[in-house]
Amino acid sequence: MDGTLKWIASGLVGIVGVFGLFLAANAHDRGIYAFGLGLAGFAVIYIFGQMKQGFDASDRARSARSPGAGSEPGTSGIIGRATP
Amino acid sequence: MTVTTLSTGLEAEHAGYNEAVVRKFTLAAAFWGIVAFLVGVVIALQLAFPALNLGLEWTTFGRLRPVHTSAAIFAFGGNALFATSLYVVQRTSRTTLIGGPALADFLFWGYQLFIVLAASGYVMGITQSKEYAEPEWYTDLWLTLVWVVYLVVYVGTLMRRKDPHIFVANWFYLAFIVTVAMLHIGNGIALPVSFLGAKSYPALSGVQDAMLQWWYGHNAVGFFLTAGFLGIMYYFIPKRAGRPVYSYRLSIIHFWALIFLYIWAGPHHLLYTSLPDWTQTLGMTFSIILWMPSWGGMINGLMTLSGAWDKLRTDPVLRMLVTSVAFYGMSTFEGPMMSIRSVNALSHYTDWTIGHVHSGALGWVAFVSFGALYHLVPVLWKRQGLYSLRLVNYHFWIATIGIVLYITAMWVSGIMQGLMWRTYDDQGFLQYSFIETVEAMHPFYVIRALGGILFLLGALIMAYNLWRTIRGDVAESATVAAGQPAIRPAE
Repeated sequence: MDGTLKWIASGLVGIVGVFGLFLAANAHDRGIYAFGLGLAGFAVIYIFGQMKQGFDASDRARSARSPGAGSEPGTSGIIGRATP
Repeated sequence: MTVTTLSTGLEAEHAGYNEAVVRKFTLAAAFWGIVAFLVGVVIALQLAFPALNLGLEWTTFGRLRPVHTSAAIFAFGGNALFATSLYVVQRTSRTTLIGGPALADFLFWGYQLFIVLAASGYVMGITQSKEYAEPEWYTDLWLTLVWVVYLVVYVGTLMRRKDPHIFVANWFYLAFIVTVAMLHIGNGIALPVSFLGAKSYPALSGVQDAMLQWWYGHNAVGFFLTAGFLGIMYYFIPKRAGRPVYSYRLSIIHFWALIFLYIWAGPHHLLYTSLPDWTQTLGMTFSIILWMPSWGGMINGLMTLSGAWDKLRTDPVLRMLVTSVAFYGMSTFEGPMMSIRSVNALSHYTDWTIGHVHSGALGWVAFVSFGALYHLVPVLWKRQGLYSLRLVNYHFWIATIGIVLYITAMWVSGIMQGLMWRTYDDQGFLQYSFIETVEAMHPFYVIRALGGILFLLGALIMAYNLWRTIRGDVAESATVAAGQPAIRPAE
């Protein structure tokens, strides 16, 4: 459920971000210009954050399956694997 | 030196609580708090030494003042409320946040975007000119969206609680979320000149608009700065003292009385205006009645320490929390008193009001937030305790002296200002010109700025202490005393 919600939320936020770019491009003043760019920046930060969380979760799952792999979130299983 | 993991932290992970978002809001609260206090110091110095306006439109008092108030209320206070409410609702419901990390992250980043949009707008001169509701229509719309998500997450989490009882702190948080939504939408109704332009015009005008604004303004105090932070009080003081709430029944009466009465008190901001007399009297009357629930709540908070008063000697975090409740009592006594017409005739438009607001904002809101942050950081980062309790002690005393300097300076300045305005000479002319009152207030402006600097210094000490705690460091003095009976904060 959380995974599905992550996709839906990221998709909606992506649309908001693109909308923000259009808004900034057509802004009549610097207030709306800043608002549009702010929406786009927010979308980038949010979506990259969700992607990072997704990779962290898959790393955790991988390390749980093979204890020798990197155990810290964000650590690649290959790099963290013990040297033979 | 790195400290070991707390068992409570492990339990939290097993329970699946979303602590990542609470950590983010906690850090944001500390960061924005320092921004708010720093800008406050700058504008206090600008009042004392106008040359510090620098002759630039972006750095004038008029543009920086809303940056200070919004940073203090919405950025510092708001992030503290998000952090504590999302922490408390999970712990007391024994379940994780509904919507998972996706909605929680939206809340965090969405709220930070609102803060940045509002603050950058003020600096650029984009404002609705409504006190505490300065953001223009597009920022208001964005906040509405974020707030609706907040309500959904909070109520959804409460609805899937594993305990049939809803702990009283959640009632206060819920009142804060629901009422702020109502106030924000009600006061923010405006018609944009263009959907591609920032300027808008409010739906109402004249005295109706003023009434709507102060219905919003006073209830922003009542529900954002009071109800929400009472939620903090009802969870963190019992937790820190290791005692149950003194009277759970009184807390329920406190809740219902407070939310019923506060909503009517707004007109006391418009005494002696074109607002109808009956409305002014209504506002004044309800303000005075508010003494009862406010003091009932304060007594409930203080008496929760029954049997644990000795901890005030050893735990500066608990001392900070309890002092905040004392300031809550003082400011909620002063507020109704200032709403009495004859008192208001002297106090209104003077620095007395500024002193009153800051006894509440610094003494109550900031201190209870500091206490909550000091409690939360070791728990959230799974440390045995804070890096240094001695630094908490320094923070407490430096900030307390800062508050005392600030509010006493403003009381003296404000009462003097009010008295000078109403002084007539033998022939019935006003004795003092406006500029003479400004000159007379100058020394108190300097004292106020000094109080603000001390408060900022205390917050910087807190930031350092929290940073070292997060890093997992332990103060040398704590390491040396490890073999002896240590003074530890109550958990």
